[in-house]
Amino acid sequence: MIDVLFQGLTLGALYGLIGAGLALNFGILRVVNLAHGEFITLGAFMAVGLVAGQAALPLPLVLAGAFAGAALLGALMQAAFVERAMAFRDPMVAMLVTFGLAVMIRNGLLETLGANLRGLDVGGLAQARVDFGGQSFGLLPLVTLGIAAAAFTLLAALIFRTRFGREVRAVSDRPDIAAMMGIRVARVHALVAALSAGLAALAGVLLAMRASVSPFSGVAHLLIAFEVVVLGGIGRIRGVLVAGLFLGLVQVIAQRFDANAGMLYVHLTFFLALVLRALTGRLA
Amino acid sequence: MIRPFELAAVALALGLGILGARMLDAGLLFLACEVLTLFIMAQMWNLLAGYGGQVSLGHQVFVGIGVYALFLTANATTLPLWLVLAGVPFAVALAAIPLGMVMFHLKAAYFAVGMWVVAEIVQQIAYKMPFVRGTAGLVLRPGGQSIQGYPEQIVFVIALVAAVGLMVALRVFLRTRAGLATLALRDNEGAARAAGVNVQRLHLILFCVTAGGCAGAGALYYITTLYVTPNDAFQLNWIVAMMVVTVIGGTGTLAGPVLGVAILIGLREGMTAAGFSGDQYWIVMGLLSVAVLLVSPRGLWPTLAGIFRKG
Repeated sequence: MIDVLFQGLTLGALYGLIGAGLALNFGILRVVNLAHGEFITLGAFMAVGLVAGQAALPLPLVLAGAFAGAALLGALMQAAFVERAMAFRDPMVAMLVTFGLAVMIRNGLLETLGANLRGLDVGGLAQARVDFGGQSFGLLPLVTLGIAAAAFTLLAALIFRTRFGREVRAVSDRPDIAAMMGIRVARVHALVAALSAGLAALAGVLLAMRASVSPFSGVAHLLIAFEVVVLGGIGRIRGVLVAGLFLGLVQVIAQRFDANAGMLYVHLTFFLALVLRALTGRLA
Repeated sequence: MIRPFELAAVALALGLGILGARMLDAGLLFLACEVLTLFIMAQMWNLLAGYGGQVSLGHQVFVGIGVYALFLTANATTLPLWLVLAGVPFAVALAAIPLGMVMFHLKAAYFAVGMWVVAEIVQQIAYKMPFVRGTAGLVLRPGGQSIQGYPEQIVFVIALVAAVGLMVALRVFLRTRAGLATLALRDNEGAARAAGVNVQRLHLILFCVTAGGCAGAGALYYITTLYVTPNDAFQLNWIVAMMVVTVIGGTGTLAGPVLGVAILIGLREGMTAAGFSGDQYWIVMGLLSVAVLLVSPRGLWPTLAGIFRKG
């Protein structure tokens, strides 16, 4: 039972991570980024490519490479396309632009890599186990959990403790006044988009170590990210983490009772929570 | 009220449909059926998103429900196939009422994602139902008998009349009191509410109508294939196509989806003939929708119509 809980927490931390990226985008740019799932897949494939090219590459470098690659693409996309779409009064336009970008990235991946499932080979890390308090844990999940926890801590520190974080919060609250105070709003937007894409890629690498990915995985991951954001609340980093952990636990526990359930019980749980909140009127 | 030339258009569609069903070969008929059913779905999405302001990412669920309602009912009973088909949109529209009442507590992005989650849940439950027969799929055998002859001929006539009929019905609807309220809603929801439009009720009506329309179009399409699996019927590609068609053609205009479907299918047939892969085609469609949104956020039709009016 402890093993199941541990697995659920590990998966949940990753869900929290992909949710955090989406929440950042939604909370600050006010754009529902439908291309978020594709960044998760992109991150995974960049890691697969890096490992295929240089097998001895240490894990931190793989993670950093995927983060940087996705962040660069995220910033470019924001500056070149989404920022312009945000100028229109209708917020739906920006969302539909990210939808078009998602279709492009997904089919670009399909075109270059094919539809096959790929796994990320992490050598002995996948089998290694450590004993802790009379209980044996896999090393890979522990590492995953550690990286996710570190990412969350750094993100919280970045947003609440630094000058950049203050600018981000100012742009989120009142973009017009922030601009008057000399903050370059478009630059903050691009940096937030980069951060969001980088977090997605980070989670994508870690997800690819657990299970294989294909260009079609992005859609399923986007849906999870949404559920985490909606349950956790926009602009609440801790809430997003808790929601991610909760959904991860639901998935792992449900799979114990119904092995081929997939994401069904996660979606059902989310839907029930949503309806419950809607009916009690506690919905933004 | 309905105008004489609108009645004439429906009659013309019926005549052309019967003529076309006799003249065109099976391949062309099949393509025409796909174009027409896709147009109906896109127009439905447009009605809800473009006019109602409710972007749904989950309307493929109604396509799937419509198909299975038709296949399961027709296979299990001795009712005529076309009678069952006529009943599907109404049954699904009624069934959508409770869902709509729950979903409309959600606003904007929450509604869009909530619908998507509903679609995922229904698809995965469908997999688990023994009578759906999962990935093995279901063959259309009305009353236990295999279909004789060429169903795509009849489907073509129905689809053409339905597509033209839908355009006429929407034109007539937009002239009524409720239609004017819909136009007000499209232009400014807050102002419409202030002017006394019951936005909640109007949203629910549009939701149920579009649910029934997607179900009917889906059922019609799968009569030409005679076979369905949950993977196919509930696939995300339905909603992707509905959105791309509407976004490129023109949201909140009746003519937009016509233009959009023409571009979507025209480009696909052209690129396939020129030897491009399906992935390359979708990259182009994604790029095209982004470009159109940035240049003309309400789609190509309003811009083109503006140019013609000036010139």
